[in-house]
Amino acid sequence: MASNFNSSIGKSSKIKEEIKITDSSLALIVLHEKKKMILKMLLEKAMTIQDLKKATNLNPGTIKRHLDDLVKNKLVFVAKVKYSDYNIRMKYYRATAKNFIINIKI
Amino acid sequence: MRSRNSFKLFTETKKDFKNSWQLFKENYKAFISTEFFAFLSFISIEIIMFSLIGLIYYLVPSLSLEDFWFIFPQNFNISFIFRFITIFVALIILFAFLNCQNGLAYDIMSSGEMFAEFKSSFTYFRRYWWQYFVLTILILMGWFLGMIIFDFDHNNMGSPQTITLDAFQIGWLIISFLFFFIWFVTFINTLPSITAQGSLKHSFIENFRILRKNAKRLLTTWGIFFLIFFITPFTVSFITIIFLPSLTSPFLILFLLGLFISFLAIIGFPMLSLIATGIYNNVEFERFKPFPPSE
Repeated sequence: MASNFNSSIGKSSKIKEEIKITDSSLALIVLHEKKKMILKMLLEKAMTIQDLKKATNLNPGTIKRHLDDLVKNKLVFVAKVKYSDYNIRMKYYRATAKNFIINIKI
Repeated sequence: MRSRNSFKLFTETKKDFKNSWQLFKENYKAFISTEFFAFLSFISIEIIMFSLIGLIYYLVPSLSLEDFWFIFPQNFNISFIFRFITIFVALIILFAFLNCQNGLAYDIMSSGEMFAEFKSSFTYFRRYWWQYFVLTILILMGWFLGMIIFDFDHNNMGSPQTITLDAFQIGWLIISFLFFFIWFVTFINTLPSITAQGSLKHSFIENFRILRKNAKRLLTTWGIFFLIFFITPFTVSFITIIFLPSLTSPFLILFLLGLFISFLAIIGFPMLSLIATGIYNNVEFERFKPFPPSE
């Protein structure tokens, strides 16, 4: 039953090789200590909030708020939604690029 | 074939408990905070109301305490308004808030984030407070009707030291428990359904659809739940009171009652919400809004 519900939201083609950040407000978001830690992990693979909790030791509520910020600024997206064998919905997040380069001219 | 079916049934029940326990361990803070807030609100409203009595009684010398509480008050309107606010409003907040745990269970299992936060309880309270209250009253009616069936001897209730049960009374006690159990199983699926569907009418229709198609699973899972959270503490308390009368004192009864309620509140209620939501998400029946929820 669970396998019937497996679905994908984002596609791997959504992941770019590189994103140049030229906006200073966006750079501030990326440079935020906890957001940077989360983003770094999502460069490698798609992870759920529970996976991120185990990896970072952060509170899931805190992770969710940082993820929402990252999603709002198009730095992270929901890559897929899976269902456990008990039909528990699991959202997997992934960074929108493999590299983020900050390039700001003052 | 039959043994294979019962094996499958027990596997599903085991899954209900195992997954719910796992999720409870990971999210106990949100559940316990919700319960704590519900009981605190209830107690606060009662304290405020009783303080108000004192104030009104002090300011209006013509009023007597009988106007507030007695069966045939001199001033019916004051008594009615006072009773309505103290009992009804306090119970609405208590029951509605306790049932916001169904919303937390829904967040954990269906939102995709696999966790719940205490503040979500307020969102579910705003959204479904009266529906949760109505459904709680409906489910608790089974308990009251069960007690009416048992028709506990009034004289025995007064003094715990004199409680004696013969085989006939024990039989009625079991029947009243069974009645509450059947009533509970009949209506419990309305709670996860109202959280997912948002309509009282739809929740009743879905409840009976689940019951019709999955009666065996419901009876097995909730049977074990009752055995753990109701029958065992109740039996232990009764055996202590009846067979160890020398130990029986009002303090012991209060202690056992406190232990029973704490066990039910701290572990029982969150497990109830998680198991009910888990069953709702896992059984097959015709739903009004499709599962999984759309993005």
